Amino acid sequence: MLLVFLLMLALIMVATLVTVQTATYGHSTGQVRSHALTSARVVQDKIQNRATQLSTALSTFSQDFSTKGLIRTGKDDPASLRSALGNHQKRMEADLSWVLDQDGRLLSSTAETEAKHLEVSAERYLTGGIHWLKLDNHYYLVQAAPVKFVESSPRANAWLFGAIDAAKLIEQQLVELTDMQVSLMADGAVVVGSTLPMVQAETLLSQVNQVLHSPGSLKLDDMELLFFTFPIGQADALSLQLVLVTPADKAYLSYNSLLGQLALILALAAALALIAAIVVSNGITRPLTSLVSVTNKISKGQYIDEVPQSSTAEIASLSGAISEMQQGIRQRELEIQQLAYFDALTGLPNRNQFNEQLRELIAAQKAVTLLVMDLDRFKDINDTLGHGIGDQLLKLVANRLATLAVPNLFMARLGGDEFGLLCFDDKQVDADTFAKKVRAIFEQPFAINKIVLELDASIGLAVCPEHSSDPDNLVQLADIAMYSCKGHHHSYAIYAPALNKYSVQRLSLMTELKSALASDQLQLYYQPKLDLKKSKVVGVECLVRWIHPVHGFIAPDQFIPLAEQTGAIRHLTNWALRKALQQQQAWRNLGFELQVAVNISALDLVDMKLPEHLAALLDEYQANPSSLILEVTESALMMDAEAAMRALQRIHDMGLVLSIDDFGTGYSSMGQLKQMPVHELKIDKAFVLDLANNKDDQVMVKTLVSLAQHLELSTVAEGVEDEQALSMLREVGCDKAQGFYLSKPLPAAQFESWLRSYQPPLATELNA
Amino acid sequence: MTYRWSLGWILLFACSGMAAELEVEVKAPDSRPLAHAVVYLLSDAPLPPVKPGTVAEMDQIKKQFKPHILVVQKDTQIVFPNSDSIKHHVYSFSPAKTFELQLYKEKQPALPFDTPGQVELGCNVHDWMLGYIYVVDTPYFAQTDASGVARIEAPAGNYRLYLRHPRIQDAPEALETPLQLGEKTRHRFVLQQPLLPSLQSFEEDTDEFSGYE
Repeated sequence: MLLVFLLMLALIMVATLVTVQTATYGHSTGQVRSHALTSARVVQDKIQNRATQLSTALSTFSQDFSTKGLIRTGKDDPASLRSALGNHQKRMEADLSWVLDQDGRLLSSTAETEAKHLEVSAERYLTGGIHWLKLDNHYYLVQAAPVKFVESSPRANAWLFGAIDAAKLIEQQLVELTDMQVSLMADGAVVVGSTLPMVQAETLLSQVNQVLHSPGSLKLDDMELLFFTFPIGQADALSLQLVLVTPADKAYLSYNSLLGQLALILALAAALALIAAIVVSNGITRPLTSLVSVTNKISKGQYIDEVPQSSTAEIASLSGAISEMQQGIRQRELEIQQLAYFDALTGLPNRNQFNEQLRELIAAQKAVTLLVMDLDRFKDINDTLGHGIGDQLLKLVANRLATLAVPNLFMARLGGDEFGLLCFDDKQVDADTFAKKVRAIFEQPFAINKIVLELDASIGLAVCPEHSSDPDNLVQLADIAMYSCKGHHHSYAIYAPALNKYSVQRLSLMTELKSALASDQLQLYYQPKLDLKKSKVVGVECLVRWIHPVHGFIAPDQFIPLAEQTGAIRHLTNWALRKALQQQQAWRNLGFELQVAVNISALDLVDMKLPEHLAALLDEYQANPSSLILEVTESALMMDAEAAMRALQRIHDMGLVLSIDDFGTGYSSMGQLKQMPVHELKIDKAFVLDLANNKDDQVMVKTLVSLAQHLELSTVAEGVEDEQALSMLREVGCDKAQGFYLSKPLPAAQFESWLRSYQPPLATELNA
Repeated sequence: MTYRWSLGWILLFACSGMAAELEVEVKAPDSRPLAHAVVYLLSDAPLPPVKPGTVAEMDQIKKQFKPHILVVQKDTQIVFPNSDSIKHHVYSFSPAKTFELQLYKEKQPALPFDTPGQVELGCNVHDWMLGYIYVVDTPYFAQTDASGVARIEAPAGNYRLYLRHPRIQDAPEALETPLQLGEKTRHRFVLQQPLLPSLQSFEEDTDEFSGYE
């Protein structure tokens, strides 16, 4: 981080330096070039001035009357003319002067030069510009003027020339004027004149000749020099080179000092930035690093009491947030643990903790008596009274369990209406005693919101190490015991190997039921219903029987709840309906007109396809709808009253007969009952079995029948076991009777022979 | 006046012989007529000399030579009267006549012009003053008028015709031609080379330098 920062800083500095260097170098070079150009102009001006001066002087000289006279007589008297030229040459500060006549022939000259070199066309030298002439290896600045004997004459009568030694033009004064060393160079190598000593000038200019390009740099006595060249002289004539030289140091003086200052400033800025970076790093990076290590620890499940503090506000707030997060995590962890190991409703430990406890106890080689318990008919209570009541009931059960006077007890709610208890390492409480003590808490009814509920439970026990020393297995064994208890209406059962079949069946039945339907393992048994008024068998209740090839007879209350749980009940119901109608058709063909009654599950009622299916079946077996009775338990109706009502209404509209099964044991209100589209009530056998001897039952049956009559419902009594009960039922006006007194449920063939041989008692007989 | 008289005399003389007239026309390359050009005839035969005592006049008026161009026969005396109120310094460096009349105002004696040729006159105190005297060895000469035409009366015969003017740059060969003078002879000079810069200020009567007075 810091490294990246430093790198960036360095890059910026280098970029700045390079940019500034390039820009200033360019600027300085431009300055020098501009300086050189100006200097060159100054020098040129000086030379031009000299030329103009010479030209003016020549002009004046040429107009002099005596000059004209001397020139007129020049041929005859050249000495006089030469002497006059010499005189004027001094005045003009020229170095040479000569006169050519009208035809360009030399008249007179102050030079020793051969005439032919001097006999040049005057035209070129008249313009007043800078003109050079090379004479005897010397370079001269030359001017000319026409001599007209009569000034206004259109023709010149002679030409007057003046020349100045070029070397003299390069004066030391130029150095002061231009701040540069000035040299004049001819033919690319010859030094004509210089402000430098001749030897240096020659050394320099030989290098200039090699560099070719102007400006350029060269060295003289280890000194870096910059030079610039400019042509000087009229373009059409001989042209000389002006060479300006300046020390490079001088040219780039300001540039170098500026770069130095800039480097210093940048270095200072870098140092400051570095300090700032370290401060920032201390304020942010270090606390962040320590916070990272803290969060790493938290993620590993360690808790940190002190989250590092920081003076930086952002870091401090982050630190605070991490601290809060840790608290939140701790809180939620506790809640999760609570949820994981405790049941939220009852506050009892849950199955997880129960299993753990059991494992620990067994691992500690303790003697453990395991008791599992589930509440009978709890589902009905939930369905009819609502889950609120169900939950309260579970709490009450938990409360009562807590009052158990059993030492070394651990209890848990295993889920739903299932509880588990562990009694460990106490030889004084054996399984039986333990079971009875638990059983005892159900002796008193439970009161919830002024509703009093009688509650029973199925209890199964298993003992470690007698039955098993494997915790899971032990729970399974207790479960097996509990289910066996359910099947046999015992108050509790202690595991015995003989009970194993229940567990095996339970597991396999679920998968086997469907195939059993297909392979005719299931059969319908028929129990007759006697019309008490007509004293005639008018119908049958169709009851499902499962003869398992391995397990033998399986009671309906073992597999029907299973079928309801797995959803197979629909197939079962459909199968039963089809079988019943098929059988009814068969009987009809034999001359027996019998109503068939089939039990319908609560789940069937909410299956919206049922009415459709019924219609199809009735059609298939050409059955009269009123000859098919659907029996629905009271609790099934209450489960989802609205949906059930809609389904019943449709079935009712189709003309089928609806009957409420097990009436009197549920909790249906009269209001609801009144609205139900049903035709028949089946009085639960609990009220009928002991009817002959039990006055309460007699009152109850009488009341129920009376109630049904007021609601214009017919009544069927189940569980008729003797003639006395039958008579009583007829007396109270019950419409039909069903029970062992008439016949137990029989397979179709046996039922037929029974029916053929059955002599119904005459109404009069019964009355008697 | 003397001059006019002498011309009249020549004409009279010519008429008395087998008088013939020559009309010479001078045209510049741009076809414009050249005025004041001097034409004259020379002959191998001896021609009448100037009458002794013939005097011509080259005056200085308003700081100009008047006339600008003067033609005289050889041996004519020329006076340089000064009509201005200031001094002049008239001179010539021409080979035909080199002389100098230093700073004078009063009347100067007449100078003899005995060498044929062009005499360029200047004034040493007035650079712009320019005058020409053509000294010819013949009595048969004339100057072109504004339309570039000059007429010479001379006895018929064989001559050489010459043309002179300070502005002419043509080679001398082009400025002379043999000529047989008949009763009515014409000749035209058409110049090939451009003329030197105009000398109009001298040729006109107007004096643009009067402002310097």
